[in-house]
Parts: sequence; C-alpha cells; structure tokens
Amino acid sequence: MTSGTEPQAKAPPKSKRAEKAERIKEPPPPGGIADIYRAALPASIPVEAEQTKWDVALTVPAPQLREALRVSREHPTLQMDLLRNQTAVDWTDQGLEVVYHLYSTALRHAVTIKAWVPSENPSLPTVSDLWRMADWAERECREMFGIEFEGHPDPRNLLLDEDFDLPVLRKSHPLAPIEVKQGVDVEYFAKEHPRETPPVRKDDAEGDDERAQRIAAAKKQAAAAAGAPAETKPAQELTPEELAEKKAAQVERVKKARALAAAARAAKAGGGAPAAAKTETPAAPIEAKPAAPPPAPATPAPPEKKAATDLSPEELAQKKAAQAERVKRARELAAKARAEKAKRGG
Amino acid sequence: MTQAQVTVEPVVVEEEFDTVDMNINMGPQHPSTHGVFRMVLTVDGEQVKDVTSYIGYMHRGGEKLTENLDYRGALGYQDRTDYLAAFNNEWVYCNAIERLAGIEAPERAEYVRLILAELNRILSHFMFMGAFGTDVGFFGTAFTWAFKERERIQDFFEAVSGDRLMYNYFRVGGLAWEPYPTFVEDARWLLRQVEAGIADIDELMTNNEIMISRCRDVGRMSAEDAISYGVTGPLLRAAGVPLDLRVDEPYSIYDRFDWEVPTGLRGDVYDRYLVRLEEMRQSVRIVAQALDQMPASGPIMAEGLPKVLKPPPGEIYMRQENPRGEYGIYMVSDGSDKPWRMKVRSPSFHNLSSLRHQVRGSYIADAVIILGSVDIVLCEVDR
Repeated sequence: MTSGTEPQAKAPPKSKRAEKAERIKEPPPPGGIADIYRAALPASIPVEAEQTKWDVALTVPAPQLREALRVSREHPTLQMDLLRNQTAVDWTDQGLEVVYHLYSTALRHAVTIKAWVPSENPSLPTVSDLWRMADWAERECREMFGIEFEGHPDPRNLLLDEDFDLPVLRKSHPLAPIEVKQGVDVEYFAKEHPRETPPVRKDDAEGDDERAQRIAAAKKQAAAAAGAPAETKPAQELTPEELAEKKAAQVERVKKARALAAAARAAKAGGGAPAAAKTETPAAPIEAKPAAPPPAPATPAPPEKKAATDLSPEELAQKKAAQAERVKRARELAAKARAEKAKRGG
Repeated sequence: MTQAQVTVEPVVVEEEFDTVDMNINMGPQHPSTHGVFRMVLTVDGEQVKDVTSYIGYMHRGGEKLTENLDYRGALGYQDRTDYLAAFNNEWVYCNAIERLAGIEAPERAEYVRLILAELNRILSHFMFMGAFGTDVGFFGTAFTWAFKERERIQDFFEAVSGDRLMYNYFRVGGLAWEPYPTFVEDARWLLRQVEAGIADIDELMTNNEIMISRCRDVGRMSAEDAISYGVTGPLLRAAGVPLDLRVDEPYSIYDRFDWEVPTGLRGDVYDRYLVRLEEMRQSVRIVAQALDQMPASGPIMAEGLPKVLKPPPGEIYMRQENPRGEYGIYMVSDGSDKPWRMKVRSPSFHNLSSLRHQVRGSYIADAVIILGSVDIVLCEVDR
C-alpha cells in the first residue's frame, strides 16, 4: 500500500488540529470492493484502501484520479454509473482532499474515491464528461474551495455571487460576524475601514467655511442696499451705548409682558368679575381682551420676580438654596413613594 | 338534407420566414418557479431552445455554520434545508452522528422516527399534488383537496413535536421526549383519513383530461440520462430505475416491512405523478405495519450518552431516501466536539441540474410543468 500522494510527502509540520485527525486507518474486509478495484485498475495506479463507517474509501494519486474514475465507470465489474456526491475537505496544511461518492445502480455497490491536492493553486481534471452530474458539483466545489477543474465547460460561480472568488468553505476563511461583509478579507477590511478615524474630511470643512463667509458677505451687501436700521447689526458690532440702550428696551418689554401675564392670571382667579379698573399698563393688545380684574386684596401679591442678572449676590445665593431645598424635598418624596411601592409589591 | 360544401384554404407555410431567438427571464420572483429560482429561457417563438438556471438566492452557508457548531447544536439547521421533509432531514443528520459515534437508538425511538418520516413523505407528496395541480391547470381545486389532508398530518406533527414545520424533535440517540399518550391511536385514525385523501386525489387527477393532455410525454428523460445527472427519487423511478435506498442500501428498520417500489415506464411528467401517488400508498402500508409492530413501551433515548459529543475520528457518507430522492450527509469527525466537515447532498440540487436537459425543445408552458414535476425545494437546492 503505497500512498504516492505528493502533498502528503512534502507536507510541512502538522498543525495540532491535523495531528488530532490522524487516525489508525482501518483496513477494509478482504474480498470486498477494494479487491475488485485492485484487480480492475491498471497496475500503474496505486490504491490506498480504508474502511469508513459505511463505505470503503480508496485514495488514488491526483494525476491518476481521472483514469481511476473512468475505469470505475466503464469496467464491467465496477459499473459505477451514479456519481452521487462530490465534495472536498480542507485539511489545512495537509492540503485538500477531494471526495467522490460512487454507486452502481446495476451491481448495487458503493465506493468512495479520494485524491489529495495541495492548498495552493489546487487543480484537477474535470469528470463532467463522464457524469453530467459533476457539472454543477464541480462548480460548487470550485467556488467553495478554490479548486480548478481543468476542462470544465462552464466554470462560473453557482451559489455565490458572480464576481466572488474567495474559497469560503476553507478553514482559513473565518465565520465572520455580521457587521463584516462575508467573503471580504477581514484584515483588508479592517485596514480599509478603521473604526477610530472620524468620518470628516479636511477639504469639506474648508469648503463649508468659505461658503459661510460668502453668504455673510452677500447678506451684508443686501442689508446695506435696503438701508436697514442699525438694530439688525450683529451684537458684536454695537457700541457700548447702543448695547445698553438695547438692553434697557428689552428689560422694559419683559416687564410689560410680566405685568400683562399677572393680570391675566388674576382675572382667571377672580372668576371673570367685571372689570372695574384697567391695569396701569395701557398696552395695545390687552384692550382687545374682555376683562382685567383688580388684584385680589386678600392674597398678597407675589414678590416681583427679577431677572437673574438683576439679582444681588445674596439674593442669588438665597434663590439657589431654596431651589436646592425644593429638589431635596422632591427627591425625598420620590424615594418614599418608591419604598412604599416596593413594600406593596413585595 | 343537402350536404354543405366546405372548402378548406390551404395553409401557407413560409419556408423562408426567419425568426430571431429571444431571451426571456423567468424569476427569481415568479409564482411557478416554486421559490427563489431564476431561469433564462432562450426561445424561438414558443419553443425553448436553451435554458440557463441561476440558483443561490437562498444560500445561507448551512455547511459552514454546522462546522462551527457542536454536533447537537446544529440539529436545528437541518430542518431548514428541505422544509417539507424536516423529519427526514433530522433523521439523516442524527443517523450520521450515531454511526460516527457508535450510538444505537432504542427500537421504540426508531419506530417513532420511521412513522414520522414516512408520514412526512406523504405530506410532502400531498404538497406536490397541490402545487402540481396548480401548474397543470386546475387552479385551486387540487390545492384545496391536497391541503385538507396535509393539514391533518401537520396537526398530528404539531401534537407530537410542538411545531408545524421545523419540528426539531429527533435527537442524537433517540427522541426529544416521549410521544404523547394517544400517538398510536391518532396515527391510525390519520392513516384512514390519508387513505381517503389519496383516493380523492386519484379520482380528481389521474384520469383528468387536462392532466393527461398536458403531462403525457412531456419532459421525458431516459434512465441513462437521469443516472448521469445524479437524479434520484421519484424522478429516477419514473424513468424505470427501481433505485430506492430503503431497499437497496437498507438503513434503520426498513427490512422489517412488506412493501413495493413503484416505477414508471416512460419517464415523463405523468409517470412522475403516478409514481408519487403510488409511493404515498406504499408509505401508508409501511406506517400501518410499523404501528402494529411498535413496542408499546420502552426507552426512547440511548443510555450513557456524554454531555459533549465527541465522535472518534472518522467519516461517514450517510444517505437516506427522502421524498425528493437521496439525501446524503457527508460528515468528517476529527475527534473534537464540532464536525470537521459537513456536506449536504441534496436531491433537489441534482434533480434541478437536469432541468436543461429536459426543457430543451419543449414549449414555454411545458417548461413550467417540467419544473413543477421536479418538485424542487429551493431552500434545499441552495442550502
């Protein structure tokens, strides 16, 4: 029993995984299909026989594989007319094992024929002219393991994309997570799409700046042409006097609005009593409203709220403390409610 | 009575009339491609000159996934190849591991598996009858009649396994749990219903004028061609080759039953229908005998199984007769808890590869019927 398989002879040191797979090969029973094969095949084809869990597997050298398969099909004592399955097994550094499962519908016997090919540029002659079934089987084997079948009439991809040329069923191809596109070399993918790099390009930012400046200039020009008032100027360009004036006007407006709101609140509280007196603020919009009742004498008017900017530091501190107190109380209440809920739930 | 004179205008045949071949794309989304399958027909008028098949739209890499899961963890994937014969697929996968690891399932579990697998074959063929009836032209009628029985079987499977389609009920070494108490009685009742259902389908379809005129001599394939293309199952038997793995390479307990393998004479579409119809009757016979022989009590799971299954290094090509043909699992163990290699040989894949051979020279309308008679499950083709 000579092996005669080149890849096995010059194989580099075996991986741990491959060592594990090394097993004591069980010889097939005498007088079985292995002996028929030995008699039928020409003497130039060495055969290594092994009993698997069901069939007998015969390993032949890759260059003589096609001849062995042709004899299997045509020899009267074999008549293997049904190629039922064809596939490959990747044994990593040992190479690829191409497997053919044959069956004879006339003689009702089965056999497995195997051959070893190297991992780099594996190639075998096609048998699609012997069994037409091998047409699709070899196409699948080619795209999944990268084995070229010389003389195949139509070596396109079958199950995978048309332009997909990575052997996905090899052990070197990882079962990648979903975010990584399947089939794309993972290292290459990481190099091309580093996650840390921010997705901003410099030229984009520059372009944005330029555009903003252009727009601002155009706006200024338009405003000058229309003779716009000074208030439309941006805040940075105002003189200190102008700024103070503007602030005062704003404070006045806020005061007016607050007084109006207070009046409206009071009217709501008074239940729509007839208006005896108008509020002191004769603002134009309020006249449209039906009534602004007098402030209720019993309830003391709330202290007028000042804007935060007008408060003295002491007042500010006081306000802050009051707020902190309120938050604290609310938190306590919430904690209590939670505890009660938990108690009821438990 | 005077006889009317009828003059017949001679039909003018233009010999010099040139036609141009046209490519017609059919699918992948097409009601009569039975799934996500695309074929490009090169037609000359109504006649198909060539056809190119495009598959792989549903390729999920089930083999790669199984190689990265432990032996028991990948069991659920096996339901999802041929979803119309999930019990049969599970059985092949479990049997492959059992032979690799040297486990023997108890007899009672084998009987339950066999009964469920044979009922699944009937279910699958009912599905074929319905879908094929739609392809041929009695739209809806066959579908409704076939689905009446299919639904009964489906209900039974749901009672047994808890699921309608992806059962996941078989385990390595036996069954997931004891079948429910009235399993045998319900199965007997179901068989009576199914027998009546088969008779209904027979009456509706076998001698139907539409059926015969559309199916006779369509898609003929000789035995040699069928074997060369790796065609198995009802298609091969319709071509006259009595190859049935339940008889020729017996597995499990199939040698204990008395039944026959039906074969056809012409290998056309009509013969494929007849073979499937007869197979349903034979499956009823097998199940009836199995129900009689089945032990009333006993274990349903092999004893002393390890928590983590590590079959010794070795390999097996396990093949069984599925409703669509030879379903094989080639499994290589390297002694670890995951299969080193797992390859599914699906019958639909190889049956479909013979489509080009069958369709060339027929008409477009016949191409649809031929494709329907192949009875493909695209999930199984693409895996």
